[in-house]
Amino acid sequence: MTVEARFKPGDAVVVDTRDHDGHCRTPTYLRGRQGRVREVLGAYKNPEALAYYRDAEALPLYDVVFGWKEVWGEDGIDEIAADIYENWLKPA
Amino acid sequence: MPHDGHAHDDHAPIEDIGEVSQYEVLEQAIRELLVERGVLSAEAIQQQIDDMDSRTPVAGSKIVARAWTDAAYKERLLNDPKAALAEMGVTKLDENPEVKVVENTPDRHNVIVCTLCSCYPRVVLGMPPAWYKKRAYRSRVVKEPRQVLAEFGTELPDTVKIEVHDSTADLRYLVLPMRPEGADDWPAEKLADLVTRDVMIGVKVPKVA
Amino acid sequence: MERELSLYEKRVDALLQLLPRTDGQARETFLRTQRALKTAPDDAAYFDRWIEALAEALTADGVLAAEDLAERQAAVRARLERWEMEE
Repeated sequence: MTVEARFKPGDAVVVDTRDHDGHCRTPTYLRGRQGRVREVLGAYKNPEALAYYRDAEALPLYDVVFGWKEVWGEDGIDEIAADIYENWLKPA
Repeated sequence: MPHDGHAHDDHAPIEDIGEVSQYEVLEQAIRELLVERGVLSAEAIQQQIDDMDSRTPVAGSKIVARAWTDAAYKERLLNDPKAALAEMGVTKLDENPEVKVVENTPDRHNVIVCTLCSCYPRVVLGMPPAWYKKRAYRSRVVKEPRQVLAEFGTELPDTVKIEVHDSTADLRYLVLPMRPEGADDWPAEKLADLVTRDVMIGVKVPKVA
Repeated sequence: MERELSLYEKRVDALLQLLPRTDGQARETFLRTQRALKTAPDDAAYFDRWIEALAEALTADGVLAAEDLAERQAAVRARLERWEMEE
């Protein structure tokens, strides 16, 4: 991957809480939630830019796992995994 | 019978326009105009339809059955799914979103959703079912996966962790289920019959009848 | 066993798959429609909702002129009705 990945597997990350008007692939129910990077999936074109321009920069994409209590505030062993772009993640 | 120039009885039944919905009329009008304006071509539209017609869950079931019977193939499927899919004849992989395969284990059961729209591993499974695209499934499976699975007839022990994969980006997910009990010596062809589309989405598990 | 999709449904689906791969305004209109449909109620048939939303968005964004679309719908209906008229 030619683009440098900011996070690595095992890193604790938080999904940003900003609003985004335009094409966005970060689900609302995960915003502000803390998860764990499981895998660096590679670099993919930023969908937010792609919605407006045919070409867009490639951004690292991460497989991030979220615990049930973290997402829903309820006890549970189940988890949610989502593919999140680097520009929506901050270190926890 | 008197011949009056209108031999109705000789004709096949004539389609009543009442059977053509306003939406079909609308689709026809939009498609014709888009083609006339050069936005799309009629050939590309038909080719897309033919392509999707040619893709069915049978391809996925053969891939799963092979993974169950060929350990080296299973490793390739998990680590380099594009190459593994190509080996089994899945076409146009470069033109479609990448597929990632997630494996069920005794401790973890995977189920796939796209909460944002209806992303689905079409390149290997073909068209998604109607229920997969509806808000009822998309919103509920991330919030109450066990209830949703139970409605599909799938009961999992409390000790099995459910992992819901929300296909939020460019990857499409395919579940590799566990090989069921009671099928130990079955050849791949027979095992493939146990692997339905719903099993590869993760709302069901394969079972020997 | 679920029923197979009708040709109409496959055609709408094809539009939805192909529009994002085009260049220009139709693509933007498609993406805008996709975002809007995310929050719309989905009790009506999936493909019907899409074709209706696309019609509105394509005319709103000027990809198709509303009068052209209305005229073409009428023409399509007339072509379908011609068989009934030829008695």
